[in-house]
Amino acid sequence: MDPRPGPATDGELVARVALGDAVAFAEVYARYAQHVFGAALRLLGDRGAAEEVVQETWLALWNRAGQFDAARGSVAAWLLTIARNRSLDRYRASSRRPRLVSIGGDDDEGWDEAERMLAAGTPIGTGGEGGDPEAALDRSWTRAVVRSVLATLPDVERRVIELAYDDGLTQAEIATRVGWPIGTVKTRTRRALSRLREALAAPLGESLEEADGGR
Amino acid sequence: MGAEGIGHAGTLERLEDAALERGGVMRLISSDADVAAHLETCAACAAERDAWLRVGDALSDALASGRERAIASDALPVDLSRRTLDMVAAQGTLRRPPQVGPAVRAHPGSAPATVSRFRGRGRRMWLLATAAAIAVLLGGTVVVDLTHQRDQVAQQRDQARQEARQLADLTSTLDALLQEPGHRLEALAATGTTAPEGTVVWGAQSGRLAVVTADLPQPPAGSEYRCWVERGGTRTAVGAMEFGAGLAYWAGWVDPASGIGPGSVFGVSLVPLAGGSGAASPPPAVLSASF
Repeated sequence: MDPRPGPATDGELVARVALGDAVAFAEVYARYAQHVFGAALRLLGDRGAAEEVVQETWLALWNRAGQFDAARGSVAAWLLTIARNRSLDRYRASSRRPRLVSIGGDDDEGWDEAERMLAAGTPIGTGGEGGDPEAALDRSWTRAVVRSVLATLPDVERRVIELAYDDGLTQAEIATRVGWPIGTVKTRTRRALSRLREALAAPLGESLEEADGGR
Repeated sequence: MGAEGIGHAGTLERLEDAALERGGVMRLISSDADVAAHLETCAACAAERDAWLRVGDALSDALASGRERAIASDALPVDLSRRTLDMVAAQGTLRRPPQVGPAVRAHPGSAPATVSRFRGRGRRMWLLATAAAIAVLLGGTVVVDLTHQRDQVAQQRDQARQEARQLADLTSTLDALLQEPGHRLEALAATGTTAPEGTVVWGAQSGRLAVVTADLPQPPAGSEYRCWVERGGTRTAVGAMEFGAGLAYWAGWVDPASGIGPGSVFGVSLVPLAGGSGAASPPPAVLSASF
């Protein structure tokens, strides 16, 4: 019997979920629920809503595990895509937050909507010129995902990422700053980037609805 | 070096190295003619470039966008996993049994398997939900007429309570193992096959192991399924499979001296109750998982 080289891959786990394996399902939860919860919480600012997003995301995993296609992205990205849609639905639906309406260009729809809101007595404010509210929401979600993943990284990995991408240091400069061999700095940076890339692997755009089809 | 000379491997390696620094990928493309030329003609490498650019942009944007919304804690609520499992058990779509491989697996010495391997698997494999459902049952949501067949009902109730306790213990062990850093989860497969038929979870920190399968028929009278760990050619018995709620399972501690490590195998064999495992050669495994 050949010993297996390591733990089950995400793809293997989802394949087993598709066969009804509840333990594999729980393992996927153990691996990624924190990412989903952290991102939803950061976007929505509401723990209860974030918990609902987690529950609905894993319900979708259970119901549609057989549709997962590794060629289209990672399991993490798939789950986060589902969570994104659920989160943004809540964000838009929340009566406690202002409606986002795009005004400008040749399209009168935004102006019409703004007039309806004024007629209904809804306070109206404006954002930056040329801002697309949906794109802004997408950016907010992506930031939430990045911060959620960063929060789960080991301290040493988060530190090198912040030094590289926040402070703009080179790998050699980071090595000097923290006193680690440059090989160690590169290894830790690679590992952290790999986790981020896995979470951000899904194309962020029109294919999201398709990826999360059949709600 | 020409575009053909650098190839995929060289391009991918340089892209990965460049991504280690903010703006590194863009600097690489503008300064390395070989890479730039290769990217012009190679869609796969261009997709890699785009993926790294997306990560870099997202990371820079998130870090540069100021302090994030104040969050007291983003720790997952400890009971959310259970609530999620309960919700999925209540609302999830049950699986249609897939047709996989041979219909019936031959277990050496076992009674003929008369049940299709995946019949009812969707509900039976929902281990945690089953445990929860039994707990609800015992909580009194079902009214039983005790005026008839009182003894029989009491016996069934006691058996259900016993089963619920065992499943609750297993659920608790699984939950703890899956939260344990560095735990290993491996598929349990019938000997000579690779199709997963159950799951083994091992936690090196706690030294605990749990195994669950829905595909093991009851052992013939006078025999049991014994769990063992084989490492370095030495096989050590660790326990015996129990049956309940349509599942076969075992959870317990594994002696660190014979514990799970690289190259070790966890297995389940059918053995006679009398005589134990003292046979000249170890009984064959009906299910096993390699670590």
